[in-house]
Amino acid sequence: MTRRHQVLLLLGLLSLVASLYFGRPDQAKQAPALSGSAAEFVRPPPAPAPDSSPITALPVTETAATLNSAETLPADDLSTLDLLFAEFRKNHGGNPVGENEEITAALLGKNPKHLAYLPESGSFLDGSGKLIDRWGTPYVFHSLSASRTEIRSAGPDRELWTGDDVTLTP
Amino acid sequence: MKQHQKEDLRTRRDFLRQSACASLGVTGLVNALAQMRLMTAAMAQGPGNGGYKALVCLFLNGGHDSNNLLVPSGDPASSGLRADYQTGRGVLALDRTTLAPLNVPATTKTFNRHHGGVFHPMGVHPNAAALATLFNEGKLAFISNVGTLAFPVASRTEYLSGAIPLPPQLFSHSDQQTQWQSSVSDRPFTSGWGGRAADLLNSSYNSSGSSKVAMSISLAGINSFQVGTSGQVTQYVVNSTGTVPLSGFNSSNTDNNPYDLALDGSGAYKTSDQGKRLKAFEDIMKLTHSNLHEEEYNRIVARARATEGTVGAALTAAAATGVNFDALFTGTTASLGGQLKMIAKLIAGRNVLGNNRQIFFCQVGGYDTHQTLLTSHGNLVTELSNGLKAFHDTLQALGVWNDVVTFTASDFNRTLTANNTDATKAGSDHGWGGHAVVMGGAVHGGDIYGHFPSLKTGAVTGSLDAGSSRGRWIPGTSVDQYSSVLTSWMGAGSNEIGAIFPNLGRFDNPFTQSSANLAFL
Repeated sequence: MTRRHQVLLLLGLLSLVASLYFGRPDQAKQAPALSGSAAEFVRPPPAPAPDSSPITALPVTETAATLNSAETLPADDLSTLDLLFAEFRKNHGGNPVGENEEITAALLGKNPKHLAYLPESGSFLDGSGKLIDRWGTPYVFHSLSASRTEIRSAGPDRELWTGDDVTLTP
Repeated sequence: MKQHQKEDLRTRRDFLRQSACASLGVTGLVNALAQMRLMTAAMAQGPGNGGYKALVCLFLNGGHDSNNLLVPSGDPASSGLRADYQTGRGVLALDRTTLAPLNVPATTKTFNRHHGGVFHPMGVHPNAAALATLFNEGKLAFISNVGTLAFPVASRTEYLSGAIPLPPQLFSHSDQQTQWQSSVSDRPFTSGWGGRAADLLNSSYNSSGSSKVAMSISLAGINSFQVGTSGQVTQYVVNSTGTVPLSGFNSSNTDNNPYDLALDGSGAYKTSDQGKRLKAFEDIMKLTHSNLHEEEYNRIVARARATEGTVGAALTAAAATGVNFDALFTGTTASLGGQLKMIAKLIAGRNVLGNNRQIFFCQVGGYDTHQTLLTSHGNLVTELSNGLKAFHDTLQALGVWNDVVTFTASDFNRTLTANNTDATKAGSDHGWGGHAVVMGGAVHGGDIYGHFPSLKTGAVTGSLDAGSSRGRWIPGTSVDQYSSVLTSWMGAGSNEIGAIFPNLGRFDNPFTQSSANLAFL
């Protein structure tokens, strides 16, 4: 074999290796097994230690105490609740969410900072821990976004979605 | 850079591999995506990149009550799942004898996690008989109990413990919509997963020489899903009749050309008021500005005007296929049917648009069914079923059924329990994990993927009820897992998927762990 043939053979082998190396199918697309730092299993951070610090009542609880008062109007109650949400949002980054009893619990201090926005008791709470309107019906809280919660009272007929409902849409 | 470092980087593959690792390990999501885009562009090996593929996201706005779409249909005397459904749903329960039956294979894995592998007969809403047919023909699948998650939450106890970080603002429409569309539920919104996928896939699969329109097309206005990170792929918005023209220009006939009163057949300005107005506007747009914002505005308007012509040509090409779109979409609503019909036309005209990969977004509202659910949800299911069936028929007629995957998403599922004891008035409220629909020729249809939840409410053993006693299911599959399978089908490799879904590593790997039960594509 001449030197020229040896060179050509070597180049051919190199070309074959290069084509196999660069021209192979993207194995990731064939078998998308995740690898690398972005795919490592990430465990949740350790849970914070139980916080037994006492609940601190904020000044806004005084305003909240006027809920369902004979001195105010139904629409005032909704405005007051909207104010509580605004205060809550300032401290926690968003309105409380969930069912009525979950939102009520959050306003009573079951939140990461143990801040209370509602007095512990009043005519605005029923026995199951729900916020109720002045006719005794639980409010409906409709979470539109972190900063907007629609509030609905069933009104005097105590039936939701009827003409006498009192609503507040921020 | 030191000499030995240069030597380390002397091969192309080494450089690509190292830059990818550096981007993923050190920098944030945006930088990672930027690096990945360069890498995928470099890795693209020219033609032969898998042909045409389109992904269609159908967002059911308002929170779809999928508890009444995919329904246990067994005898409650022998099927505990059906018994739990009836107990929980109360007045909202659908009569099992009216359900459209699904031929779920006995080998399904969907009952393994929460039902001990015990099989339960399933059906769909009576108004979704067309979906049942597609399912039984192997063309459609359900993914059960998908939802936003920051980390896996195994049980109600774990949910209540506070030990597992949860997505913020659960049960809030706007937040959950955004989290579904971003997939990154525990960070403030910066981009959507569809946008990030387009950022990475566009350079690999779509040629800048032939591409005439953005890879991301929306039928429902600007949306979070298609927001990218680089600005390279911007959303292009059309509506059910075609392009969104400049304000004040409307078609004078049925040709859907909004400029027919402004331009003649040769494209010259007419002497009409609209012609003069369009000429004046376009003369102004030709001016150059030193202000960058003004220049960018000019560029966007010019691009939109140019794309209008391209879309018009694509619609002409669609008409030339001979497929009677209007006839195929008879019986659908203007809202969903109109959007899907336009998507089908744009797919039909794909050669004019010039993309090998296309992501569409469409959306219908009305799913926030707090009252009169049985009636309103029934109508919504009719719309959904008829719309998807018409879309299927049209894609089949166009010969692209195997190239298009359609999937649903929604804010959240709704509470299993009703909010009223009167069936004519009752609705359901905001929940969490829900069932999604995936349809297409590439879909391994005829099965239910993910993990069908226990339908026990409250603190009952085995309950997946998140906190309350209303039946809000803790998701068994995260949006990240669900979406990554769809993105993989579009051609994303493992590195791209890792960049598009930065939280995916927190969950069972949908590609390698059969326990994830997500092999629907």
